[in-house]
Amino acid sequence: MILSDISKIENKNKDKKAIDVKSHKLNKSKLFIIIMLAWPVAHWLVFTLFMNLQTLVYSFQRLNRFTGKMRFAGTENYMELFEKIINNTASYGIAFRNTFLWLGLNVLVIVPLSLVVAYVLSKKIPFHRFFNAVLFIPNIISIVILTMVWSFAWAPNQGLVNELLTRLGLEHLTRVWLGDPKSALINVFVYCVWAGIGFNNLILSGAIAKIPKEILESAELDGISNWQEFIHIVIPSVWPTICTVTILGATAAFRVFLHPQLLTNGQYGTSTIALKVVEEVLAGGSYGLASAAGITMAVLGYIAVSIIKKFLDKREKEWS
Amino acid sequence: MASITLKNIYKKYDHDVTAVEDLNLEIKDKEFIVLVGPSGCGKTTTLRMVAGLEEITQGELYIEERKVNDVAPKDRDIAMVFQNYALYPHMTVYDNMAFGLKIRKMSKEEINDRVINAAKILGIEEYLKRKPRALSGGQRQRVAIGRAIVRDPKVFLMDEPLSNLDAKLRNEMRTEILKLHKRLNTTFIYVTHDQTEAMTLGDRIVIMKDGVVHQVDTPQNVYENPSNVFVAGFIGTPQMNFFEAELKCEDDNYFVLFNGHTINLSKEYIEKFKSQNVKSQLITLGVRPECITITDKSQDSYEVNVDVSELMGNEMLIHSRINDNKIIIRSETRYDIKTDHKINISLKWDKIHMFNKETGINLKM
Ligand SMILES: Nc1ncnc2c1ncn2[C@@H]1O[C@H](COP(=O)(O)OP(=O)(O)OP(=O)(O)O)[C@@H](O)[C@H]1O
Ligand SMILES: [Mg+2]
Repeated sequence: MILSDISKIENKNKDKKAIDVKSHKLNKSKLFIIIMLAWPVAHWLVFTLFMNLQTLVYSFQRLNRFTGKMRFAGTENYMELFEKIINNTASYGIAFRNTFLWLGLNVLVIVPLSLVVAYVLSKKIPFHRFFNAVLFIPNIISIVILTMVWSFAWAPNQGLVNELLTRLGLEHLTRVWLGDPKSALINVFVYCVWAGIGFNNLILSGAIAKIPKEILESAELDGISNWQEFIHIVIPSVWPTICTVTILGATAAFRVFLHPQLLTNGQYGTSTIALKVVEEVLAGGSYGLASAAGITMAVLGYIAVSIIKKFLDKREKEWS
Repeated sequence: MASITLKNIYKKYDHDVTAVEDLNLEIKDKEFIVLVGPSGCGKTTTLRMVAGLEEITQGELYIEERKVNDVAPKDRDIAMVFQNYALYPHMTVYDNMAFGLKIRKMSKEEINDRVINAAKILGIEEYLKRKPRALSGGQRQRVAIGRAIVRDPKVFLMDEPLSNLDAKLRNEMRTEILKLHKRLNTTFIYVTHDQTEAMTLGDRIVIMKDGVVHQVDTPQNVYENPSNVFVAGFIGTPQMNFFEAELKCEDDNYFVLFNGHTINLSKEYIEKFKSQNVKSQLITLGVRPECITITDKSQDSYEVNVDVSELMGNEMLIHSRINDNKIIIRSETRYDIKTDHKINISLKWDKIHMFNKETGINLKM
């Protein structure tokens, strides 16, 4: 939803360009631009504008199961959603909470951790190439396979982790990691961190590598420690990139559903609103409720990302 | 205040690139030393080794009596000005200068005093609150120098600090740097590929080529007694003219065969050659453009054709040839000399340089 908001803005700009172009004399390069824009504009009109509008309309409608027709339902869907969230009916409350926990995880854990990792690897420590590659692997293997491997590792019987704990004489610590409300969510979070660092690391590494060598050497002559260099030179220098990965992470938080779905099937307190939406639709029926949930999360996501962006921009201004 | 000694310094990069070879140099306290040479001759590498940014492959480096090969850059008490300024883009001018001091945990008041003082010296007080982005090249250069000044280092290292400035500003900054050296009274090592900068700034000049030092001497000596053909050709604009000639030694008398003429050498040369037992040999004759005069036709003169004459205002440069050898003559401005005129020239034989044709070494050395 949020991504579609962003692409909306981008596409609007593209539309403007297209109109400007027409008002001028048509020459070859302008024709080229129009042709290149035709597809994205059409795509946007159909898949973003139309579908989002339709979702909005659906959120105020309900399916009559007997006639198979949609009827206007006012705010009924929204009311039902809020009630479910407040009363935690069908784990809606937990799903709602988890969505924001994911926001925190993506913004406050994964991005800073990726930054630290990218910085450490930028110091060309032994095997840094190897680490970079290993960290990126989750991005080139299907998530289905990754989660499967992960589940095997944390499986209750013959899983790598439990097996290890047993060998070490820590049998009392073994548990059904992904089937225990006490550990399932944390476990899914750990998976997300493991799978999420590689991509951010790649982008941040690129930014760090672009810091002019002389600036770092200047700082070295100024007598700076690694930690000071990280805080005073590296972070301000790559701040625009940090902003980008943070915003991407924040918007992604509102769309998380595959990880809990594949790892725990959304059970044991690991569901998210996005997963609930998927479930409602797959179960057949509550398009209205699903749409209302989608629109609500889009609005909340927009607000959350705006706040984060404001905070990031303040720093950006200071440092540019 | 510090003397610096480089002893048999070598720098080899990966893949067997030898950037600096057997460099020996003693820099005196408070001296202004200029490293000069063509691109890729190892000037920057040398400077960076002194700074500690580049490891020394072999040899010893001393700052004062202390061997500093393995001392971290921050503990060498040096400051360096980089060619592209290397200012911190996200900090104000003030913070750029204050940063190094903050890191060294200096008190706020002391930092402020030093920054304001340096800003005054460099005339950048108005820009203290600006970011480097909002400064011109010259102003940035001053900030970069200011950042070095506040540190009050024992040694100042500068790597082509003026090369990004336009000609006028470069001249201005050159004088400023000279003043700065007088004022700070510390050791300066200055890298440039511009021989005018080298001649005007240096107490002594180090001339390098392909990682090897060819001469270390005062500007005057380097100009008047270049140790070899390379130095002779590198220092001075327009370049020294070179010709092939033959040095003859007969019965304790020396003379030069050049272009069909036999030239007797001055006593000074003869004494010198005699004492060094110089033999007859093929030589490269070096004549600076100002050591050629336009004369009337005589027995000792050569008639040449003017290919191009360049009026420079107070003087003129005449491009010509002797036996297909290019020759440049520097003369006072004369409006009657034009392209394709024939003129007669004579060489000031007491001012010529003679180099061994094979080795290029100055025979007088
Ligand atoms: N990091 C490096 N790895 C390998 N070779 C290098 C490296 N840095 C410099 N060199 C080589 O060492 C030699 C000397 O380089 P250096 O930068 O000291 O030249 P310079 O005299 O400063 O030239 P310029 O006037 O162009 O700045 C060059 O041949 C260069 O190619
Ligand atoms: Mg250089």
